[in-house]
Amino acid sequence: MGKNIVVDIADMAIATSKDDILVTYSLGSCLGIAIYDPVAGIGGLMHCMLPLSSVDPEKAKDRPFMFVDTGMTIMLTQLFEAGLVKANTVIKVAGGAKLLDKNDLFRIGERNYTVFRKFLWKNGLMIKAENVGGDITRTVRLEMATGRFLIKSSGSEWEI
Amino acid sequence: MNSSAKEITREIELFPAMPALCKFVSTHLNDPNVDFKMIAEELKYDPGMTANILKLANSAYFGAAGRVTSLQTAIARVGMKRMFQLVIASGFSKTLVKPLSGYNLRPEELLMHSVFVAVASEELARVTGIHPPDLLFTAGLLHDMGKVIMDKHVEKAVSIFSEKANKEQAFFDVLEKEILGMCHAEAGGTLLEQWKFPHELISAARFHHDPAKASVEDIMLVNIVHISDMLSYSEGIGAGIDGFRYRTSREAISSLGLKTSILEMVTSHSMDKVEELEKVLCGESGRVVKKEKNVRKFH
Repeated sequence: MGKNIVVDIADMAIATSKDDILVTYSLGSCLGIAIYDPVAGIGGLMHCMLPLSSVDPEKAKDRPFMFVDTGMTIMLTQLFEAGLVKANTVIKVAGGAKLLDKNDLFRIGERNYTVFRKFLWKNGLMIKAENVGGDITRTVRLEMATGRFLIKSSGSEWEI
Repeated sequence: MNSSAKEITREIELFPAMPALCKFVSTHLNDPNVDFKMIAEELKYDPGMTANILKLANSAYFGAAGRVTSLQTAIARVGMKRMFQLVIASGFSKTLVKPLSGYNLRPEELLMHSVFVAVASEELARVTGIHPPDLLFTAGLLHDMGKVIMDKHVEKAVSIFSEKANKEQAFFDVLEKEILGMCHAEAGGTLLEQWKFPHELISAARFHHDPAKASVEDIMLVNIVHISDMLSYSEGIGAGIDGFRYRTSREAISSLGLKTSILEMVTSHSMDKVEELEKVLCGESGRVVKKEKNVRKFH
């Protein structure tokens, strides 16, 4: 039986066992970022809330995974330390939703996604699959045994 | 009034009474000169609540400097007004912690949402330079009480809700009104009114999705609770089946002079405090324990 490792909001976890399943609940404008190396059998899942740590640098020291920029830096560093190989890296992302009532104020999801893309581009990494935007909340899972990245929203579940 | 609305109204009338102490405190929320002995007398028979209140008084959020171990010192440190808010928070956490299957909220989700709105409201006032109204925290905490009553009715009609939501792109409170004859905001407002809560709390519950309808006296407080509520949903905290389906008041945005960067700052300043208070209000939950385990393993 697989063990569920729950990743809380503004947090990240790494799994190295085939039995593990990383899961994070209720992504709104937040991003659920899964980074996986099928050869090394290493994967990580992050649930980050806000685009840039410059909004609160002090908080970023305590809670780096609250922000896309500091979260990605530390997540990748820890994954590489654990043996992740860049050439085998598979990156998938979900979340970044926006409210049904479109307005310019609540653009946090869009900003999260933009900062994420920029970070990957600077680091020479690519997104393999994504399911972002829309006015839905999502729960995501990364199955270590298969590398499947599953998204659950309003009663249905699918893989990307 | 349709039959669901009639039933909901009756359920509000029959809703279990508040803990005795909350009842006492609720009528004195704006009256900080009440005799402390009366509170101490009530609390003598409720060790659970006493312990909770001391924990809250010792939290970083309520900011007592140094550790307080008695109610007397707690009141001296946090003040009587804050003490009343702690009593209310502690008393209502048991109701708010339960799962709501109609709204698709797991256990603790409504509590986390309520605490987020309470904390973010005070933070939003601070960041925008507004002197926070006394009851802002409690107004945020209790704004969604109506959901507790509405939940089983939403659950019964959930297929109608999802069908209409997909087809019409309608806002959820509008659907509640259309399908059940009443929305959760109205139900909550009516409940707090029946309990004779101060008008600020009734307005925040009743108008948090339609702040323009609040009285001139309450509108600033309701605007703040409304924006914090939308921010919580946007972050996925307590969003359930309804969270992304409410409208944001343009008047509230402009009257508070809001920008995206302000909301991001409020979110970042609020999260630790929300988690701290939620932990106290839930007791030592499995969720928190798990979190600490992750931190040990990977940092």
